[in-house]
Amino acid sequence: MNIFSLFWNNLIMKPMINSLSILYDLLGDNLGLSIISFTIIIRFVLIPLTIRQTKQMKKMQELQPQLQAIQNKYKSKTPQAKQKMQQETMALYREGGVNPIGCLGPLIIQMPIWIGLYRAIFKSAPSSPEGFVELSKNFYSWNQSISKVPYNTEFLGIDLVDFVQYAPTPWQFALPVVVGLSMFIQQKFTTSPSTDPRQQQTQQMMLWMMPIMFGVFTWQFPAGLAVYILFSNIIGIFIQYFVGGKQPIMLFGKLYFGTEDSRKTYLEKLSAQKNNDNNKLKTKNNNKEETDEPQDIQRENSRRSNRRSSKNSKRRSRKS
Amino acid sequence: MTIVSVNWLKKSMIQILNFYKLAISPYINSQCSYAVTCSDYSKRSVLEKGIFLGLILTFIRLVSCTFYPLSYQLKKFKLKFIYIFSPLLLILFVSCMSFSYEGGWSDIVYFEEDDSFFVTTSKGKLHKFQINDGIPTTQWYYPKDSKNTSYSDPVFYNSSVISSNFSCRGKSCEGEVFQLNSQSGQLEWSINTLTKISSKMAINKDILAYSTLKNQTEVSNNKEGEIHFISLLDEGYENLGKIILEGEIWTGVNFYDDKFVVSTLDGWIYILDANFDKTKDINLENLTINSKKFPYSINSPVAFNDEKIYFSDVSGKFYSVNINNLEEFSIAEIDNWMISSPVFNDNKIYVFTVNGDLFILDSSTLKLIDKYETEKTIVGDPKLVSYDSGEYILIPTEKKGIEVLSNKDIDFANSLGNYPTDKKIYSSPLVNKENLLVHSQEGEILFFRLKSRDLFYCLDLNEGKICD
Repeated sequence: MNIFSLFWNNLIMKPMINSLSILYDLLGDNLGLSIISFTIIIRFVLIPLTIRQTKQMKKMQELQPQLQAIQNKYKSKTPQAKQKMQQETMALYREGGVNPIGCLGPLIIQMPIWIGLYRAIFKSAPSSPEGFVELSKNFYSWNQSISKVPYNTEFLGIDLVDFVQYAPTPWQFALPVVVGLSMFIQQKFTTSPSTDPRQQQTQQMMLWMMPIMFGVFTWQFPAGLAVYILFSNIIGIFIQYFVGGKQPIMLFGKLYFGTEDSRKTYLEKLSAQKNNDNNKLKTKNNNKEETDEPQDIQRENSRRSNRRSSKNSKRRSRKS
Repeated sequence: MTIVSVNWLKKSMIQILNFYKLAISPYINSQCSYAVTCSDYSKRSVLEKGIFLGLILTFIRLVSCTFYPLSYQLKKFKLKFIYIFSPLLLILFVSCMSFSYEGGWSDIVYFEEDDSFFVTTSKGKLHKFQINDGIPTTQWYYPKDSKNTSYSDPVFYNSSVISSNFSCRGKSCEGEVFQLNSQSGQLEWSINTLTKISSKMAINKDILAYSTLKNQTEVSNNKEGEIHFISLLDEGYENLGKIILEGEIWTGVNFYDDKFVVSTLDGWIYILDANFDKTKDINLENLTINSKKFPYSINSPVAFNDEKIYFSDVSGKFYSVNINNLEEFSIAEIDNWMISSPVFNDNKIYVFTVNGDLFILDSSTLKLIDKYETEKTIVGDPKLVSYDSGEYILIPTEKKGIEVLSNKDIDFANSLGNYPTDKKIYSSPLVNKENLLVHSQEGEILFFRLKSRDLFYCLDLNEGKICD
């Protein structure tokens, strides 16, 4: 525990609190601007990782046909078959140079940054005398911006240290919505139509769950962290757009952005996906016809039991 | 010793892994896609790389080998990613909560009249205790139930004792200032406020001054503090009014030489008339004798000596200001924050910074005479003690007990051991007869023999009994 807190304080908390304070000092005593520029710096430091992630995702998509072949090969549900299938998928990934957790890298790396910023924002604006003692320990001795300390936490009419839910009325609803929206657009940019139903499902879920989750959580964040996430997403969108080959996005059935080529491939993929879906539906319907009988039996069974129970209850009621 | 224990740990780790491999692993669906199974791998890595690195490697392996199949498995059960993310976010929130205590900065105050002690604990309760036949016992405490906290030292008015407490949820706070009969602990009056109440309260004759932050639920750019004036009557009180100052007030109101002195986080020093005419309107203009804005925010307590005010600011400057003329001041660089009050000895000032530096300054010119480093966190006010022809400085350190330094010229600032405690100390120790009383932040009173430094009793005020 002690080692953990030592790591945490020296590698995350102290650099964060100090850089925030220096930025605050440089940017004319504005905590909002210092958080935004901090975000930009962090995102630029993480650019190599982001590039790797987008490349990995592309490779993953290229491997989709082979993956499906493996899945078709081991359709039985015995543990051995499952294990073999997993081993083969791993082998496939290794050959293709794809690391399945590589895609989550930026997210996992951002996690401690969120936690750190959450705490750094609170620590930078102490609300108790203990807070002052704690804060003084977190400053490097050479950092002269310690003299700015009770920060002006006001930014565009919001108190950045206060929770979003306590912000003045238009903001407390606007911030979660805006954060959710930026998340949604970022997800929209990262996803492209795919024939693999599993990936499609994941994408759909990420597309809807992440924005909603972040919107909800933003409500409970200090406004400063919401500002960080918002700008992180906006920068993420730009990086994604230029690194990921200027993919277009589809909103309300219309394509936006993107080059002509990327639009074409996008539409091709989309039609492939639709065809795939239609085929699926057909096979599903066929399956349904086959499995109709047992379902009916089940239904009848349930009906019977229902009848029985109702009879019983009637009897009871008469008795009573 | 350490090597043995590490080996023992290693062995037990491997036994646990063996047990897992034999007893648990065969009965659960294996999900590993690596050829060397995860348990074997972790065993090897623990053996070869040591426990710490081994466990990290194992963790990475587990994540890399289970994450992908796991997501597949979850899909099958129609579980969704949210079940992976929500625990992560839960961890985020748990790690964000701080379980540290707040408050408990109150010094122990000795009341001569009936040989008793008063202290306000971190739970916001005012306790009275006495030492009967060598055993400390609690007399009474107020309030009975409290979720509050407090930074206030108890103050006395005739035979009554006054203190305060407050509690906050987010930014909405509730506070209470109360006066009790010092004998019986009967409540004589209490005032409820909707803000935090800062630490020091001051009494001049029958006027009580205490400071609060401005109601924090309003979001306003200018953070303001308020000073409330109360006229103490034989029974009850009369509210005289309040004044609003620029900047938050953390250290409270100080009384010196018929003046109330207040410092704020916006860098203001206000000197207010403590003998004001009660019939007049209470407002800033009527009360202010003098005020001055200093360039940086003042976060230290204000100390007084010989018609001068001493304080320090966030940029690490130590000021001495003439109380009658605020424009007349001198500055010393101390390069860190000062949260404890300085100590005055002969013509010297001992200034203790939070990071443990001790500056010896000349009291008239503020010239640096000497500097020592203790490398401890100093928050509570140090005290000077002399006994048996020795002179000592007692420094309450945050986590390492009361440090004792020599105050003699020959071996000045040499460490002479300490009074050990294992709880945080943010208050000043109290020397009483042969004893040294220390108030820890968690509401324990530690009784030491001053000379032999033996801990002879520890009273847990929150539990009302001897500490564990």
